Amino acid sequence: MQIEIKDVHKTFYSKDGEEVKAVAGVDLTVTDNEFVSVVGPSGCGKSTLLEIVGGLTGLTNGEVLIDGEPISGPHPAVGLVFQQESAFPWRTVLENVEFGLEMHGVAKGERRERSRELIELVGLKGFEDRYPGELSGGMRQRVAIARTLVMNPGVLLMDEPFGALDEQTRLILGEELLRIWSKTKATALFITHSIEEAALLSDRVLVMSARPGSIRKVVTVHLERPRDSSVVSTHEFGDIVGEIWKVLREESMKTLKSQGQI
Amino acid sequence: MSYAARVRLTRWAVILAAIATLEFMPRLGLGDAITLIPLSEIVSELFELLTEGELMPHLLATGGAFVLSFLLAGVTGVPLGYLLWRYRPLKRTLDPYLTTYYAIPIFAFYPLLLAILGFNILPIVAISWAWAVVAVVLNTSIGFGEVPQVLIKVGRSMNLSRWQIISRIFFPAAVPYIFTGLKLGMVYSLIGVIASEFVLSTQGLGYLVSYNYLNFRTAAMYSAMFVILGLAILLNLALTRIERRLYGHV
Amino acid sequence: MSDAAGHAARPSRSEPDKASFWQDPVRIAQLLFPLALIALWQILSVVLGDFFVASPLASLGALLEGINDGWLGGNASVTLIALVYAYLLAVGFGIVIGFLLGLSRFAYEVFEPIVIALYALPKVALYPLFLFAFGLGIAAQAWFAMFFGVFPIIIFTMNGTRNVSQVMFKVARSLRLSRLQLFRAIVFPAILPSLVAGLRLGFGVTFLGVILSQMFAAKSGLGFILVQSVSLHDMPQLYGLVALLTLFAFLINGAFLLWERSLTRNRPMQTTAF
Ligand SMILES: Nc1ncnc2c1ncn2[C@@H]1O[C@H](COP(=O)(O)OP(=O)(O)OP(=O)(O)O)[C@@H](O)[C@H]1O
Ligand SMILES: [Mg+2]
Repeated sequence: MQIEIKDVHKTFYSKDGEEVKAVAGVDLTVTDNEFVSVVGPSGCGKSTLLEIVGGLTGLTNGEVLIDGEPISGPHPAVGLVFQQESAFPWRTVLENVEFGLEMHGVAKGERRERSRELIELVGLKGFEDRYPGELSGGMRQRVAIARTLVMNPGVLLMDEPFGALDEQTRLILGEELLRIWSKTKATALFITHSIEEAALLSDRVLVMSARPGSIRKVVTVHLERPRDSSVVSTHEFGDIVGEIWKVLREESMKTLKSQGQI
Repeated sequence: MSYAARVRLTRWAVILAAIATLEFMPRLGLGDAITLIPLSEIVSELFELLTEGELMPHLLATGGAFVLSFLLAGVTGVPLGYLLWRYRPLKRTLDPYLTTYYAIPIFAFYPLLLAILGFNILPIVAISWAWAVVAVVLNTSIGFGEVPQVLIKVGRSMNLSRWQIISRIFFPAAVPYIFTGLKLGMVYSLIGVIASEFVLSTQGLGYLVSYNYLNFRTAAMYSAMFVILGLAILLNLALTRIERRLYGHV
Repeated sequence: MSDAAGHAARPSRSEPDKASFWQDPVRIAQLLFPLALIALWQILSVVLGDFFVASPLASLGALLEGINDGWLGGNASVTLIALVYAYLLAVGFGIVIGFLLGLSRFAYEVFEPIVIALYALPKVALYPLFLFAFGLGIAAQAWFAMFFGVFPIIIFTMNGTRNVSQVMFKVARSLRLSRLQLFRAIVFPAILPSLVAGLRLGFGVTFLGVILSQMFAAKSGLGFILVQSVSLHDMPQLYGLVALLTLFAFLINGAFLLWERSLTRNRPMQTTAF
């Protein structure tokens, strides 16, 4: 499936009527089965952009098309994984994963079967009857990912799914994500603040400007697929990371300066 | 207008609407004319009570019992809370009973205390203390438990003496919790005093309400109620102010 | 909701070990605590004499006599009826009001200080208003006790609703759930633990309200009997009743606590609420 983001703007009005321009003129097309990452200084509007594509946030200007159709609200083929932890603490892993299917009336036998497959795919086999509270943060995010993937989304939107984890875990989970993604054939838009993670996973990496967010640079990653985290030590990888960091550093400095932090 | 101002304005509108209802319902003949009396008449009755000196002894009785029971709750509650924190097995043993404490109708013990101590201020102080003290104990022990270990390590790394660590780090770190406990203790001891005076006693503001009710002096009863509510609201406002002044930055 | 396989796997999780239960001195001390209280009671009755303290046995005897004479059953049922009415009212009003206030941030900020202030007021002094409105009898007692007990329920429901993490609503919307599904599958289970905590505290306060109201201008009910035994100086009856009320409250509260535990056992605090 294809995502087209056309000149999207978003302005928030705070409760006191103050304007916050979060996204200002983003243009982007993610083609079928492409993996695109977005990096940018914190608060630049990454989550806002993703939630606009997910149909959760309305836009002030512009439009978003999925397979050529303009969206108005959450599209059935779009799956979202959120930045915040979102596994339901009152449901077991299995009950979490089958949640969407259950809500959409899929029969118990079928949804059990599909959920178990996904649980195995994300490496949580044996933990089906555990509650999220008994799992590590990384495992809980995998529950959330499985809960989204079980719906067979044609478009997969992920907002810093491994944001709270350390770098090593993040790279290893990223590798697993690649493996899973290659089986799903979904079009992926992935947000992260880790340059290495973005370079490891993506076909293209977009660098966003300081708020209001727009696209400052597009870096194409020509590393061969299938990849694993060993590419991190190659020269090409280093060059890509350097290229992204050059732009990101500038934008992050702007953000920090505007906040008076430096 | 800012959002915060809008919130505050709406809140005052709600409160004023409630007061206006009290004033106009009886005037418009809604409700029983004997039992509902316009606010303005109650206020003038209140003024009379105050000037004729009828109110003063009751005010003093309530105030005295309240201050006494609260002070007792503070003086006993904080050390008990410290003990409970210091001796973990004690805390673990008593935990299920402490969480149940406020589920028990503690006030059922008031008649019992009356029968033992007689009709005077003692049973009132005792029941109000009992009502208040556990809130102080619980919050104090939680407060000591919540002091971040790293702060103690900071003190140790600076080679402070044991006493310095306690007085300069440990205690100040726990004070916001202790304050919450004392605040609750204050509220509870006032409730305890008013309740016991109301149910069975010979003096105090609570007694004034029940006496006037039983003798069909409705306006006087309302004015006694207003004194009680007024005092309680003032107490609450003062406590919130103090809390904000002390810990607004935390 | 879980199937047989789900249950079969469950015992693998750490359950309290039955053998170590009796080796934990704290557990034993917890069990001994009520016995220690009764022993203290017995000692006091001997030391102070039965003019001041009726012995546990004498108090139990008074209660048994009350059962035979019928006064205990009669008055206890008056108290129970008032309690059931009051609690049903408090639960109904408390959950609805608390939920509505928790849903809207504006309503929450307007009303929260008012609700807290009302909770902290000495509301006993307002009891005559209820007598005016409902006449002497169970209705006044029930409405008064509900006015007592409704506030903890409002406060806990309100805060529980407010604390449902925003991302849960986003999950619901991205899965295109209906409003009913959102409520049944997400909001309700999310607020259930705080709801039950509110129900527990609300019950205690409602019970207190019933006893208090029956102590004033009543002709029946356990509160009335309490006050009556003071004027008759019937110490065994007084001590027996106080013990009975305490035990009753303790048991109900314990049942609520067990329910609360079973809900929160697998939720080590609500996961990060952003
Ligand atoms: N609902 C809202 N109302 C008002 N302002 C908002 C709202 N949501 C986001 N904002 C503001 O819009 C800007 C962009 O927010 P967004 O969450 O999209 O940033 P982000 O790039 O995802 O940041 P981070 O890296 O920290 O996740 C921020 O300044 C934020 O404060
Ligand atoms: Mg974000």
